[in-house]
Amino acid sequence: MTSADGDGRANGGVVSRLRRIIAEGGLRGLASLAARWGTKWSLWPPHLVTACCGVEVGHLFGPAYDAERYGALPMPAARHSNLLLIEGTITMKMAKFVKWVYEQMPEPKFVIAMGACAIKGGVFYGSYHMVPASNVVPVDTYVAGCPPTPEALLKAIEDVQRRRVESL
Amino acid sequence: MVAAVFFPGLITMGLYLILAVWAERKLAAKVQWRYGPLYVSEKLGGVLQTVADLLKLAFSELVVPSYTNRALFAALPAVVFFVEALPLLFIPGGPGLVMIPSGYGLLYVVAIILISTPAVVAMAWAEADKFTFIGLLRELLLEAAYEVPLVLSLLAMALVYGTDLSTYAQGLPGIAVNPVAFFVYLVATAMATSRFPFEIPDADAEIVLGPYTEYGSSLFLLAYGSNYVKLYAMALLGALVFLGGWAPLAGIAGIAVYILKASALTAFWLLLRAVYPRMRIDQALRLGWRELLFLSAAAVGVSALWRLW
Amino acid sequence: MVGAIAFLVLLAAGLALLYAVPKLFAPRAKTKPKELRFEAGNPPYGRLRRRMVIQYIRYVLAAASFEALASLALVAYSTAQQDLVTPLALTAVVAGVMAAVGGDVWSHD
Repeated sequence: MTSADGDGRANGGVVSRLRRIIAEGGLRGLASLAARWGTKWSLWPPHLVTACCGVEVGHLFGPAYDAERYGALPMPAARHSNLLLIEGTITMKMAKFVKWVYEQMPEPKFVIAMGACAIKGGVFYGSYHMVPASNVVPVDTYVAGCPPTPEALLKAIEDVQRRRVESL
Repeated sequence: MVAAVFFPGLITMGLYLILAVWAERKLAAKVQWRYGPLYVSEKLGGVLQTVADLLKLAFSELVVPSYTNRALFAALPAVVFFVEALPLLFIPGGPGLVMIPSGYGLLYVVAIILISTPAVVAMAWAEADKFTFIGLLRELLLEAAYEVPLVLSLLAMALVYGTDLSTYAQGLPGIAVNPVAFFVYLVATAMATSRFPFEIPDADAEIVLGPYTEYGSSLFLLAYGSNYVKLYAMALLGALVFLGGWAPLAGIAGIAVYILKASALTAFWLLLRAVYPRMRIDQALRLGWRELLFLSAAAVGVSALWRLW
Repeated sequence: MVGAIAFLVLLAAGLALLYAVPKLFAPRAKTKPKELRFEAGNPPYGRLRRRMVIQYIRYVLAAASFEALASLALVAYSTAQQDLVTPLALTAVVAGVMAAVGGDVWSHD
């Protein structure tokens, strides 16, 4: 975990870190720092419900779990979003559209594959018409469960923030 | 120069954009028993959320698709933003603190506010997809609903105080002179800036994001942010015309009072998001052409009575 | 007036910055779906069969903006001691743009 983490833990630390980044990477280093910080706290998933896990995603943005605390905001379209939540089963037919939505999202973008079906097939394991998420799009984080609880999803969002965005 | 850079110009406008979006999300969250944006800066209640969103959008890929006119597609969000910011040229932020002092300030402001709808329509047309076309039509229809009441409510105030905006801070505040006009202004502005019961052009549950559907990255920032610039101009105008602007004080304290009044108006408009469902377009048009039109005519009548008396 | 010009210039500079930042710093990856219109997650299919009313909205837009220019010319003529320069210049702008648009439409249809 790095020290420039939103609320500026030690002021001197942040300033000296900024100075080091500018000395090392110049303007580009500063831009990358700003981009990483902004992306970390602003992961917007598009509206793409492929299966029953969508109900849990509904919970995720509801009063009890409230993923908006982490800066996640559900968006209606692929063009404004940067976090693809794959909500459960992907059939062959749906995989085409998952890929389409993923490719329409602007860079940088991240993928969370949710539920047993998206990982390996779940109750549909071995079915002729079923694809694991990793065969369709590059997945950053998996969430286990059938369905996964909203807490697990919050954890996955945190995981994307800490592990993936920081290493951009 | 102070007016251009500090208030009502760029710095206050930028701060307003950041704080208004954050306040909108926070207010809606409070009403829905949530926290809203929080962990981005936990001690400050997540007030940096909009800054993070802004950086995220500005540093993400700028997609200018090739199926439409690329130059228009890329340029029109900036044009819309620019046009929405133009009323600030004529709105004074204090005695003498105005970019273009004019005896016809109110007229210029009204004209510019009404020009901005064609700019949004042009933007939606340049995007050229189903959802933006529907959003475009709804934007036009909604303008048909609010334009006449909005102009009449400001006309009612002009009948009493004239068209020079800097005279509005003297004497009684407009809300005491003509409460009907103030009410009409509140509702008509909610329509003009697509606040909630009238969030019809960019209804995200129905037509993706209406006129903003195709934009990502900083184009989305410009296109969607322009709505809040309009809200800023309308809040300043409303606070000046109906609440007396900087009235009891002057100088820096006057500016603070003025900002406080504009923020109160803004908070009202933002809270609408949490407490109202969305109207259908026919309901909004009926409201505009029946209740609102009669009320605004009555407001002009009230002002005429003031003049006679 | 200096304030107004400063405001407009600074605003334009800020807006230009918002175009420059993603151009310079954002990662880029060209894909086919990004080039096509958004169809709620579906690949667009089929081709345009006939023109709809909405596609003529450009005429309404042109009318709305040029109407304003034309009336501005009228106001300028009647208020500024029958000054001929401003109305003629505005009319020339209207006529020029109209001719360009008309030529463009004619060359396509």
